[in-house]
Amino acid sequence: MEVRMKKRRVLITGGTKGLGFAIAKRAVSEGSSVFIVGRDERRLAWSLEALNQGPKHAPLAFGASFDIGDKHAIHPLVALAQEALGDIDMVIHNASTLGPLPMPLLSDLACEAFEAVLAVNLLGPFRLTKAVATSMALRGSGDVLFVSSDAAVSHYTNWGAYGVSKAAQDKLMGSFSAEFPEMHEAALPGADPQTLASPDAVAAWVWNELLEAASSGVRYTAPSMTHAQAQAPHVQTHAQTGAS
Amino acid sequence: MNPAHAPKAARARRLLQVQDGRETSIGTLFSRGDLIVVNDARTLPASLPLASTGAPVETFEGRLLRPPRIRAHSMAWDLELLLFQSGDRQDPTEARTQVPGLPMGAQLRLGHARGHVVHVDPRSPRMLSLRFDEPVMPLIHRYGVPIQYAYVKPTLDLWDVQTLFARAPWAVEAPSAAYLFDQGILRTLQRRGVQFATLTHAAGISSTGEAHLDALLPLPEDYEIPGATARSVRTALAEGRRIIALGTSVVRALEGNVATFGAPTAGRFVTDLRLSEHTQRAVVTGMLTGVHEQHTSHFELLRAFSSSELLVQALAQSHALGFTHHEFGDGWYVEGPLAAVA
Repeated sequence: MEVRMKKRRVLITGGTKGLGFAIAKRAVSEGSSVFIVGRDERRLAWSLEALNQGPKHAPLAFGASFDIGDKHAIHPLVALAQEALGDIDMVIHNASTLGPLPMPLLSDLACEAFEAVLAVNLLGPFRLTKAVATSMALRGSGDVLFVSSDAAVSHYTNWGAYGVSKAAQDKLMGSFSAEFPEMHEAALPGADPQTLASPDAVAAWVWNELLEAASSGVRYTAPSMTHAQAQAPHVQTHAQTGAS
Repeated sequence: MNPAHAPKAARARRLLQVQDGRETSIGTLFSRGDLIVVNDARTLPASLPLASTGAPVETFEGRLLRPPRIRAHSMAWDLELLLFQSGDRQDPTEARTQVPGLPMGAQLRLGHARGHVVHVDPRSPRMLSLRFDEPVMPLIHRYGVPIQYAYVKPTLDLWDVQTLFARAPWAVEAPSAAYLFDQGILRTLQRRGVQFATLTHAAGISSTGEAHLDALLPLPEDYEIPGATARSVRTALAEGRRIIALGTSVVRALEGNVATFGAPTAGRFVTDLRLSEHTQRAVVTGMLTGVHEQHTSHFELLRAFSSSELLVQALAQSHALGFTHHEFGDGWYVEGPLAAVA
């Protein structure tokens, strides 16, 4: 079995708070380097400072402020992440938006608000994956993780736009997976960070499971958790096709 | 022949095989055992709007001569630039080369940041280094746009100048031969048993607008060859298989590497190899490249692969077939035997 380095270079969208920040913390604590992206510059500065605390020779956390829903943010953010990290081994599509709060009924949602939800939750991951996937596949390694939701499979009032975007993102992940022979799906069990567990607990689990999945090539399904689901098409030349 | 006025899809690009003067396609040219080496440099927004700090304010376009080098543990970040008069981007660059000499220490603004001149190249007052007290990569990506071409009508943005293979942000201008590929073409060839390998070559500026400076191009350029690529190339060489370069930057990196080390060697190095009819190729049997007109430097370097007669014929044939030339135009495949191994 191929021995994989545990130190990764990880690009995390929405990495300044919540699950994204928790995964960044976990990654840095294990010696991996991260490039976090968030819209709020002050929040970003605070997060980077928090991540780079401690006795280290060089900072492991880098970041930049971009809106992942903006088409023109994608290549600059990839370039800056490449430059800061040296290379990108893993992309975690974690950024997402619920749209206007409180969440209105679908019929009451402005057309532009629906488009904005799709731009962040669906088009952003499409564009960012497109910008990195071929070079990852040619170099023979890389992971792309999509953070999904149970709203992608169940229907709830007021969650229409978000649910549509997450269902479509699942399809996006599956389609990329089908088109890249090197990719296979690793459907990771997850937990809703808001209701089931702390983001830190989920992050620890996702991070460890990801490292595990990276060397196994097995399709994982959630044994007991039904809320959030994280799914990772996983680029690895030697990977086996996943089996449930 | 006309230049291509806009980016177009890879599969809309046409391809001529120089040796027999016939139109062909990437899908039919290559087969099992061939090794295609690609440059995975990502293109930088290398055209920067600069302004003097004094009155009256003068404005310039600064083009990166090469990607910024990282200086570990340094608190100063330098940009090596070539200055142009600012102007309408559709004015030919040749008309924008008159710029006043800037003294050492002179300040130029790039957006919110100020840099000062720390080096002026003795060969031209237009070639200088600006030092900033903050990292320059974010500045470049915040204020820069891709280098524009007078004959291309739409304003190019970064999506237009990234190739399928883009990875590390090292290219000042796109390694444009890669525009011949999309994912579908790549997959078709891979299924057929064509092998692919990557290297990164920091393709620099392609023209300066002045003949005496163009004569200096290409400047010495950084390149990096991964271990897996060095192994693939060595094996293909040993087995006598074809090694095809996607673009001149790949030829420079591979031939420069072998000229220096004697065999394909992994690592990060600098090449100053200039391709010409005198180049003794030891690695690269064929090259996919854009179509360029006679008397351009790009045309001349194709003589590393083929005789002038064949190239001139291919040009006439491309013209007759209605090919377009320049960065976003159609392509050529040119091949020639390797020099006898010494």
